[in-house]
Amino acid sequence: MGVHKLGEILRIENLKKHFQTAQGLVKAVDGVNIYLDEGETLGLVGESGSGKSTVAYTVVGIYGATSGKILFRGNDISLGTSRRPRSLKKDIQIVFQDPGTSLNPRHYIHEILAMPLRVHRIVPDNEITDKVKDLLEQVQLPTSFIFKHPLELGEGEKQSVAVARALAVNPSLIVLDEPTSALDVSMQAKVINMLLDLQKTYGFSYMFITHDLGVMRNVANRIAIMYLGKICEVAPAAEFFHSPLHPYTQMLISSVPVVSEDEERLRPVKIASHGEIPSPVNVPSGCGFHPRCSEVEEICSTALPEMVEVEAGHFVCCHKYKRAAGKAIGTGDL
Amino acid sequence: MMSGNMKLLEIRDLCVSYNTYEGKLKVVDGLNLEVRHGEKVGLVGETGCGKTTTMRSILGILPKPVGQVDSGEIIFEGKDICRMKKKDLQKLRGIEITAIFQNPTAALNPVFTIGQQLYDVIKFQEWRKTGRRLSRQELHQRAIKALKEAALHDPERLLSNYPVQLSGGMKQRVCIALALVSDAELLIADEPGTALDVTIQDQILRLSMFMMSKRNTATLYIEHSLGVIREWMDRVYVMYAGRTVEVAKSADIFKSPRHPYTRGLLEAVPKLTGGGIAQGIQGRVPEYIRPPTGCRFHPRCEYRLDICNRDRPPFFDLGNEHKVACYNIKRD
Repeated sequence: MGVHKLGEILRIENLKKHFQTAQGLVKAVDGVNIYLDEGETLGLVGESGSGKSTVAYTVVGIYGATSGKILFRGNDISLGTSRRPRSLKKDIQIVFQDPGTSLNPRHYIHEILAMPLRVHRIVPDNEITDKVKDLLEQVQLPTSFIFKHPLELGEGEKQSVAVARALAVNPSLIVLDEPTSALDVSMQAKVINMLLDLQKTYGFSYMFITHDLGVMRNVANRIAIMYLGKICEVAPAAEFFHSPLHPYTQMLISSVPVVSEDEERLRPVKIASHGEIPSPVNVPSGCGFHPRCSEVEEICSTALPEMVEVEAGHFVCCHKYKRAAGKAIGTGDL
Repeated sequence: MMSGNMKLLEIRDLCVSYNTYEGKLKVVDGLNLEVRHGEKVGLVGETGCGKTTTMRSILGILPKPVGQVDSGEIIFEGKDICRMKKKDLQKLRGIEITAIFQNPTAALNPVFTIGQQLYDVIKFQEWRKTGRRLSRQELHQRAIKALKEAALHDPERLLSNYPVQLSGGMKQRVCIALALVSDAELLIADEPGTALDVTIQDQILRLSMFMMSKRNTATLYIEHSLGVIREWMDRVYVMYAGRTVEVAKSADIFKSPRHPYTRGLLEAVPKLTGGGIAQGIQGRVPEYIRPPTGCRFHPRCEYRLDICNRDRPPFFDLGNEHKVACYNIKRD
């Protein structure tokens, strides 16, 4: 616990974030363990209400954690930004889902990009405009945009500005909270390719949150699936799609509408999805997924499943594999 | 029901424009489209290509006085909707033509219970159709039946619930129930799954398609997700900047897309099989004040010919109902 492993940028240990609401205690994140290597893209997938954004916000420091640890290169940052040294704030940046609301409509693009440069004293004041232009070039926007307002830009361009703002302070980890879900496919393609290019150039680590599995397949090195505040499966991207283990993952992948026959072959036997994610105030007993699961057994409603490593780097949290793992891993109906 | 080849809805050379301070925006410019009885037709395109405007024109709910139909016809069962009296239009809307909207939260009235909203619709339809007023009991029975058909559990309790008490998926199911209580001939759906999660979207699609095939309802499905179109629709219209650029059976269009725009769109979809994402189409949807001359796609097109910026390309028939509006169809 707490020992910093080389090459690891982020380690989340038993993270919990609970909210007290009028309806009762909401366990938005309830015991999440995950790590992120330097230069890696970790995909975080889940339906709305699964707690994926809460994890992101806790990493960035918008919320302080209820309990558990978030270690950024060995430093615990679980208490939120107010208790975080400025140098660490700078290291972790976020790009929000909707650029229409995350960019101040009354500021010029110049001001939007200059603010973080001033706050963190990235460049001397007389070089700020040059740096702003440089940032715009990096996100493939014309430098003439500095005297435009966000309203004058298209959705994709606004999101590029939001990315540029995150780049401004030379971060090491960027949290991308559904950065392309407000965009059309061709815009989405552009923004994603730009993000991948930037990663190649600067070696950023990305925590990429999306509910679009197609996007995930093309950007993430590893993928984690969340359901009701817990992680149910973690696997390298290719394996995640070729041999999904958790019934929820299988259901999710088979629900994606695809555009080619190749993709159709990849989908597991069509599992008809049913039910909805329950309210996090009233979480089902045992495994949270059991009311929707097609392979539910008695034990599922009584005991919490444990995370099992089925293959190297492929973790799954389901009773089915607990028993199988006890016998022989990788055989039978695994 | 009638045979599958009869035209239920036909749009001929429709032009719709919006008057703004900057000038006249020709958002739909010469659109041709048809939906046959019992057919599932998809309409795809990027944001701002005029999909929703098309839908609003069919339903006669263009924002007034800004939006107006300049020319063209929308013929539903032999009658032109654009030139119909308001009174006659009301006999069609909600009875012969119904709609499901993108955002179920905005589509339901927050201050009335689900029951009140459902009763109103059922009462109105019965009165329009037969002139009869239903008793409370009959209303209740029909409402329960409608909710049950939409796979909603515990319909009795649901009737007394307000929309805020339901999840997004449930609200969309209620909207489907509302849209399909009337055995309509045509259902227009404007991205009904977009605001929902994939598993819920899958359920909503399966439910609405099942209910529609049972009633032989035709549908015009407006979508930006190409996957949805491929899996559920019979025929697809691809729309770009207010015009349709390609029409085909959905199986054909995904196997052999012919218009450069359709190709670009398909390539840009991130695939589950991986392998990176193509760069997408350069540029963006044009401004409607001064749209490009000739083919509206030519400034973004890598296959453009000299003729493309002068003349508007006609539809070339490739057989098997596959038509494409592009001069450079012989390029490969």
